[in-house]
Amino acid sequence: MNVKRYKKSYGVKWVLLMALLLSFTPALAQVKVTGKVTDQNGPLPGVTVQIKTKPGTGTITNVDGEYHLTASDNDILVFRMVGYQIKELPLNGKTQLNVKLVGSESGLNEVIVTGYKNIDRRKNTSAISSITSKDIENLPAASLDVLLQGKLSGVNVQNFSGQPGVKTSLVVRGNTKISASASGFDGDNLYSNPLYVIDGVPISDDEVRAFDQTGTNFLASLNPNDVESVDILKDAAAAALYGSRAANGVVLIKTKRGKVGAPRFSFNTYQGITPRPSKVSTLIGAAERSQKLDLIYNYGNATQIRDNIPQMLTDSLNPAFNNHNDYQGLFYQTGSIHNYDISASGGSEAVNYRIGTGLYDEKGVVINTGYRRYSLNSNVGINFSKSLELLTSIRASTGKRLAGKGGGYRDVFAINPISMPSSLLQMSEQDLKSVVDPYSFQRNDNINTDISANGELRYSFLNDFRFSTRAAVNYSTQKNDYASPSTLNTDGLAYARSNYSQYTKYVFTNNLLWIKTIAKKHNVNITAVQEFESRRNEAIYLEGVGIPNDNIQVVKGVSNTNLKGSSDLSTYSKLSFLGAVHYDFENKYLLDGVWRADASSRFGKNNKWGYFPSVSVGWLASEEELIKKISWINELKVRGSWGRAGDESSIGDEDRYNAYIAGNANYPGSSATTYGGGTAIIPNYNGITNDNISWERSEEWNIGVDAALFRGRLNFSIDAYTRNTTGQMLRITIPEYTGYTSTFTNAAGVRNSGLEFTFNGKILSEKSAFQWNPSINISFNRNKVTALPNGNRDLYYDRAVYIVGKPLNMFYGYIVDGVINSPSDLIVNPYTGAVGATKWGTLKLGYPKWRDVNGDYYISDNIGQNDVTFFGDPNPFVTGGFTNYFSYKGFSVQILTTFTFGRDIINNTLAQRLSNGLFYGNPKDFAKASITDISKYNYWRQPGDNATLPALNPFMGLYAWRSGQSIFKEPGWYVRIKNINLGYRFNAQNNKWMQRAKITSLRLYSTIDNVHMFQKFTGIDAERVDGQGYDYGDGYPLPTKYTFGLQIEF
Amino acid sequence: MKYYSIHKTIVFTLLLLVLTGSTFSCKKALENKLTNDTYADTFWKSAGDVNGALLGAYGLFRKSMNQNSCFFIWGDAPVGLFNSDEGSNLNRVYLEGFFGVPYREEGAHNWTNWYRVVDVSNLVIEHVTKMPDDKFTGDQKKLFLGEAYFLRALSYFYMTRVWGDLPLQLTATTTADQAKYIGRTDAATILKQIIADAQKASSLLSWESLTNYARRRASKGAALALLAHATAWQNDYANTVRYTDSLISRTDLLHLQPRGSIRQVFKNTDEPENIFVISSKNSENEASEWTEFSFSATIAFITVSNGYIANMPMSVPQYYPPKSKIDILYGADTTDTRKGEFFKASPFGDINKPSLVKYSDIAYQNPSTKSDPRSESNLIVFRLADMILLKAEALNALSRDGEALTSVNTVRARAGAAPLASSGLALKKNILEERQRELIGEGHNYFDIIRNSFQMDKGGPNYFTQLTPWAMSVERFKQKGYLWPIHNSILNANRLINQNPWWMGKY
Repeated sequence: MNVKRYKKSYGVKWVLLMALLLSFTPALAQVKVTGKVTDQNGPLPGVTVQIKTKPGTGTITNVDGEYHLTASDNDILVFRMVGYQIKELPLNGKTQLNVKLVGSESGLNEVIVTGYKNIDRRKNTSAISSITSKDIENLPAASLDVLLQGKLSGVNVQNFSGQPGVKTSLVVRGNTKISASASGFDGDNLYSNPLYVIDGVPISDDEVRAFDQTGTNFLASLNPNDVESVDILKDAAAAALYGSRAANGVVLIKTKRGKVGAPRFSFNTYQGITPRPSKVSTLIGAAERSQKLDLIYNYGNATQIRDNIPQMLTDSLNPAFNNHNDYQGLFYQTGSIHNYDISASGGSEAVNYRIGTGLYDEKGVVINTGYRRYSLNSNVGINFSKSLELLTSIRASTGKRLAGKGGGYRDVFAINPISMPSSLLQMSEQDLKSVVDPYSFQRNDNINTDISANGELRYSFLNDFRFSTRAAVNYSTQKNDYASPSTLNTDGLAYARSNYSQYTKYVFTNNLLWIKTIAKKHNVNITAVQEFESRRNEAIYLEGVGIPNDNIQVVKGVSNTNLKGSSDLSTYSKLSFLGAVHYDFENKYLLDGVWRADASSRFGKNNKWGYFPSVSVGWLASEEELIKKISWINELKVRGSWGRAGDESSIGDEDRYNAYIAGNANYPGSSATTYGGGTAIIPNYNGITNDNISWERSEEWNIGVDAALFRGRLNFSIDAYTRNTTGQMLRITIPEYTGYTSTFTNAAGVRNSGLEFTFNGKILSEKSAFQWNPSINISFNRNKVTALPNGNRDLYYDRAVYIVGKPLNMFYGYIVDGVINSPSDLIVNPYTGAVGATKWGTLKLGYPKWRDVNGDYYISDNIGQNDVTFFGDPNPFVTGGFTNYFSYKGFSVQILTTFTFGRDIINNTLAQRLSNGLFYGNPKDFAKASITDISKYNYWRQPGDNATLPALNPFMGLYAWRSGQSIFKEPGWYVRIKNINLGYRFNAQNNKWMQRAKITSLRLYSTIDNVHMFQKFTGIDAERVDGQGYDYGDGYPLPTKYTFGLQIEF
Repeated sequence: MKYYSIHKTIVFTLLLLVLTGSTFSCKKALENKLTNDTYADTFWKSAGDVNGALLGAYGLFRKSMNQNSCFFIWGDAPVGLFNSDEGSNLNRVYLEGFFGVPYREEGAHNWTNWYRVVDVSNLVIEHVTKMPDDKFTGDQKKLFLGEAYFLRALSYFYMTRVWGDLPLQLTATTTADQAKYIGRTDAATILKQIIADAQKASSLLSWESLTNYARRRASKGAALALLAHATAWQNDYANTVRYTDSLISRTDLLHLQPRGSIRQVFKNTDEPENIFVISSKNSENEASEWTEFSFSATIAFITVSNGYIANMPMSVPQYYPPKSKIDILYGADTTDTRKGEFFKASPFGDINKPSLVKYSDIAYQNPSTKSDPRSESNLIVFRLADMILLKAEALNALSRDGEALTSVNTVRARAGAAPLASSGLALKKNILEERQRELIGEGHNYFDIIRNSFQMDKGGPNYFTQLTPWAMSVERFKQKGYLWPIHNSILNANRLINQNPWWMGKY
């Protein structure tokens, strides 16, 4: 009976993977067909030609674009090549069939490959944004996430640092993160992170960050030029496939695989330079002196001027004021970028392969910063038989990052550009050396090495079933080595540190797939998955003080008392079951359902399992006869979805344990581990555990429309969503007489809702030699806090505040309504007639016009008198990008513009610089602090002025210039011409020398990255602000990069 | 045909095996063990575990004492024997009796550290009681329990002297659900609990513990000293005499240092004058370093000048005893050797602003350059001189002035000072002054004044006027203005806890 069924369904259409389509079946010999495939530039080698009804058969065009094939005379031939629109032509008895393929703007595959199931793009019912290699190739950046900026709707990438190899932010559909505690509040890490899935292996930010030694972006281990496509699962219906880690979206990354065809070798390189960036505006020399003296004379009364003018300023011979004392120049350099990629790919029916190697080397614009990566990516597929195939992929890379002074993302400068002193005159030679150039004497290596391998065995049986089993291993190490010689350290002792961590992850997946078409109308596709994931993080920390000789840059020769070391281990595991069903009726009415169950070792003992369902429906209206008649509608789909996904990033691997700390007897000034020489063990009083802790969950609704109109000349996609995230883990207080002050609980909630638009157009017809293809994506998002612990009590973290009904991370400080320009601006108590005061004295003309929020005629932040309140919203309301692609014959130009609107930022650079000199009201401080050219600001000088900034009075001694004030709030919108690509492709047809040299493709290109910034913000760069919208002048600049490149294929 | 069905069977069997096999192994992995740290369920198995937890409690006690040098800020700063040149953040405490102490609130106003000592003590008491006897050798079980009762009593004693009424927590907390909001129990009940615990400790502990642990862990002596202080705080002076006598009579274990080497009690833990000290030896990697901020630094760094000990952070100590005040206290020209033993003027600094050198035992991390100084002096909780003077105070209160004079003159004789001969309230004042001369900087003197102010018929808070630069009004004393304010974070977190009456709205 099996044989019978086998024969009967032999011709049934299979909807499996591309690779499976390529597997071998014997053809029924009837006609020999030949032909030539071309595009606008000439012959196209490497095009796959297949018979539609026998997807197993096929051939590839040769170097001249020619193909030979045997087919039945009524077959339909299908021509496909990545980057071109698929073309289907009936033979109708012909034996010669020449074809011209047209480039497809999207270049997207019809199939979205997730780790578990393949989604037919046409029949997809959820919100997925995708791009292909074309959009991210050869751009000067170390990691992929940066390259996604402005290219996909619903994906907000903000680069708060230009430092090579560090992670910035990528947020899908709005931020949901509230730090679990005030101590965990970090301006550079205030975003929710999506789950990344690289070739089927899930990696989330929190599991990498937990044992981070180097601060290097884990995505930098992947060479962007090895990436074939990126699909972003935005709504819960799609993300539910990934269950308890998918609440903030999923980024699927697929690396390039070989295609059937003759071997191709490709060499690609680009070289670039990065000029020195703009500096924080600083007055120097005589100008600085005269400006400072001017302010002192302007504001000082007779006594103050007589008694209190700093000698530093009156001494006109002070070399500080006769020289160039803008030290910022010492820390910037001209950077450079070198990138090389070599790859070989090809394949036959039995084996396909692609092996790529790369070198990326970027020298940063701040001295002693940069990133260098060596990478290898090897993907091999083997078809043992028609029913059994093996897919393997191996990725290896090692990257070394230089981190400047060595702190976080910002702390790379030896002298902070915004707290720069006016003079280094009184510094000792030793100090000067350690300040200006410690790097020549120190060692600070940050090395990440990643190896990732996976193999998947697929077995097809009974026509409609496929069972596959996959094993993936991810091994990653991070090493930080630091050594500082005795001459640089205040205690005169050489210091060295060596920290190492490794991360091993195994993922085993068993997958059973059933695809069936019943009665030619009912298409069913069912996936059942069981998956087990296990991870192990280990770390070793070693440090020593008093290394015997400065030439030794490792931990060696240190006495026992000065040697410290420890090691660390944590494990994680997860068991999951997944069921996914797709059903459609006549390819028109689409229904998808996903149900996933996850058990995570992180969850508390009362909550081991989490369940994540989703349902989505779609109507492919363009399949209806009525709409088929409308010639200008090629595709029209309406879809809607609901789903639930989770996030476990706010729970640590070990949070469910009530751990005791062995070796804790510290007290202020001592990190003792013992008392009286014996090891002390105490409970971990940082927080007591809670047996009910669980994942954070998000429920998301999405409706969308996809359309292709005017024969593909206009495509658009519109989505509207609302996502409710609840149960974020937060610390809540418990009474301190238990010894503990906090526990954590699933308490907070955030809602994000928004609209997304994507439009792609072809302005001119296919026939035109000149092409202009614009595309634009705009995303609108609003977020607000919906729940907080302790009965929704407002939550204050550092400079951020969370209030139910308000957006995340609002600013927290005094509201300033301009300047007290006239007596009528003063706060007066109407009952007593007394002029209002501040904590630091009575209000006067020229002072900031602080708003008396609580109406007590007294400006203060004391309890009961508090006027500090929330204002401003750092979350962008609109983000997006606008791409224009022009081509004419071999020339192409692509311009990407990104934009962000509707957010506030704080000019903390200005605040900090002014407060450095003016905070204490002592002109001596003022004399020492470097100053910006204040003549460009309208500040209050004397009664009668109508100023917008308060008095720059060196004698005021009022906290007028503290940073937590609305006076420093500025519009945070920007439009950035992100990059311009120019390319020229040599046509092998017209260049005989290329043919002689067997060059099939030659392309020259050039890129300018970070071309121009349009902003109203008065600081340097409105994008370079931290997660809370604070601009820091000491941040790492986003420099302009110029590159020139060459790509050759043989 | 057959081929396919066999094939099918094999595939499904394999599938089933893989699914079930991996599911079982996975279930186990989901209950991964914590290997990084020990935790509640795996701890408390051996005597070593208990010992580690007790050392943890001593470590927490050391942290509580050193946090913002609170023992000194409470016990010495308000008395005004120390001055500061650094402005109102530091001098309002002795000029006005204002206990706001900016930047030092964490140590001086927040009791969280102390309750951690209580929590570990509770854990030890609960677990040791349940652990089988065969896990311990000899008296070990009794001794461990005794140490836990002692530490719990001692922590409550520090707290009740500073804040008065306290939440009484006598059980350990092991899950968030056990954390219940409770209010404050009145100070008298707390004190009864302290005495009950200390009596238990005294009966469980042995005299041998004193020397076995080089006087830096609890012993019967330490428990008796605590009882002496606690009963004195109750003004139950008859018992104070009883407890102090039981210590003073153990001359085999306890006797005063010889004249000229009193300072040895700070340098070495096992000096015969010490009853219970907190150690922080550099050789054991427990010494403290300069913390950049004087507010968080340990006592040595704020009292010892770099004119006396090289590379200390300050040339004029943040808190220094002015020469004029020392001269008044010890008499301008005197044979009292303590003046020379406890105070040193910097050879190049201001002679009027000397250093208190009780805490001047310093080790250098880099001995060749004398850089990175580490403070390793003991903090003395109880020593014999304190007991002798406490006994004198008690005898005077019991109108046994003759015996009181004998006692107080023992301490004076050791220092080479002339004997006292006063009586009645004058003697009481003299004894309090003697405690200042002997125990200055050891965290006692402010509490000495309070203890002697409880009885309104014997002068009440008059001693403040006589012994400090500020006056404590009867009004303030009645509103418990002698207590310290409670940290705002504690009041904010728990509605059942109110500020001490006199501090309401003032801080």
